[in-house]
Amino acid sequence: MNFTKEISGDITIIKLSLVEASLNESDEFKAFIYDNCADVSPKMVIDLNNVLYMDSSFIGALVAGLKKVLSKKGEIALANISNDVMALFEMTRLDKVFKIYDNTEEAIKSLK
Amino acid sequence: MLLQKMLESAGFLVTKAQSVLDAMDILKDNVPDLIISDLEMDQLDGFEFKEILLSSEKYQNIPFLFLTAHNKEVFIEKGLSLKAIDYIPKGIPKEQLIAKINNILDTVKDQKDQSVNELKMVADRLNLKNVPTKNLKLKNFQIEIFHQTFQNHPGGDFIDLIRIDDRFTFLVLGDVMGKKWGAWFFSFTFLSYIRSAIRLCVFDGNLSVAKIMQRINQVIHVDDFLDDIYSTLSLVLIDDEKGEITYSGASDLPLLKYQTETNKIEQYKSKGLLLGFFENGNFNEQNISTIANDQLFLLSDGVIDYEANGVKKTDINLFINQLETLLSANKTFDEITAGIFNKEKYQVDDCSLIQIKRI
Repeated sequence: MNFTKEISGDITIIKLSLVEASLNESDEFKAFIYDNCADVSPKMVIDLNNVLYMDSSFIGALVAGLKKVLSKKGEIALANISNDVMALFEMTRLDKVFKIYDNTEEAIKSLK
Repeated sequence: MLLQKMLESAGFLVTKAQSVLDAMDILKDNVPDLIISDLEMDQLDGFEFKEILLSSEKYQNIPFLFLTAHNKEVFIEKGLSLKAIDYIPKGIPKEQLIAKINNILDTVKDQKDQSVNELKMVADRLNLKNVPTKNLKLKNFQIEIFHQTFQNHPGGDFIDLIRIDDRFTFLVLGDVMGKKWGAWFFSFTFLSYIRSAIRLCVFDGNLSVAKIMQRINQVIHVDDFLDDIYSTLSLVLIDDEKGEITYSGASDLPLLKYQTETNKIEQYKSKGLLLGFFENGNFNEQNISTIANDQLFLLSDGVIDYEANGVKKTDINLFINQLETLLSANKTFDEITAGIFNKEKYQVDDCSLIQIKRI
């Protein structure tokens, strides 16, 4: 599986096993986020620990997921972003759009 | 196991599943070019496997071959009615098997190429273009455009040059997040909004690129059709009379300025966020002064994405260093693009580079 989830209290933790997150997985990932935000005020942590490259299609899916979650008054926190992906987020100001934390523990704490 | 070895020795990458359920699990992460399935299996058989695939939009078009010891017509008829492409008998000689598989893969590729060519022909006939085919020369500036498609498919990058009058010209570079036809399709919606917003703002006497960006952002924000489609945008206004340039951007890559005096590239980073994501995109604008021979560059993300040794990377500094070296050696725009975007750099997306040179 490219994406797995675990539940911790009212928080869904989504873990990506992909090294390169790109067009091939973007639709599936968007659907995965949508499927996991059926509740009111969904809270999600997305663990990007394995991801070393992210293309614009996958970023688009991530942003669409955030918009969906925000529309339900929920929150998304990203964790364990690699230096290369973080540099891209900073360059395109997506670091101002997402809540970003060094690790999943801090991300979970921020949503509690 | 013998079949797997035969295919691997012929250069195919093979993933083996122990059952239909195992195969369905593998398909979640990896859609193959071809499936070869046994007819008789525990739990679910080959026919049931094919029926499951046919019910899925994602899997229904994967070429499918039955591997069977049966050659009775009833089996063949049932398989073919399930859109199986062919049967192969167990124990088929290697040469025949490989020839059959290559024929199937070649046919699928030919059909796909034919469909893409037909779509391209229709797009050309309708004059649907999201990148101008001509460069533009003004009194004080020369604008040159480089655009390269990804694997010969149209993509999400879009460019426009909007000449208001002899004095003012707008330059637009956007990139719809996505690839190939899907992104290409939506690029026209973004372009329509951008052209309209620029024209309407100019009619109202508004020539602030930050304010124009906000108008574009507002209208895209409320459009349900673009609800989960996003685009970056770089917007530049050239005042050809005064020789001035103003710039605003939405989650775009930095505008690069090469100064002839220093032979160095300076980055201008905008503050705006992705078009339409928030009601207020937080756009700023920067005035960029130029003297003769200074060169500005706008770029899409395909310019800085590449694949080396099977690993994909994003590296703007690598691109800036290459560009600086070529500019310092007084290379022309054509020489620069030929030097950077060639067979040695494996492209992973469509890419666009625009040069604005002060004459």
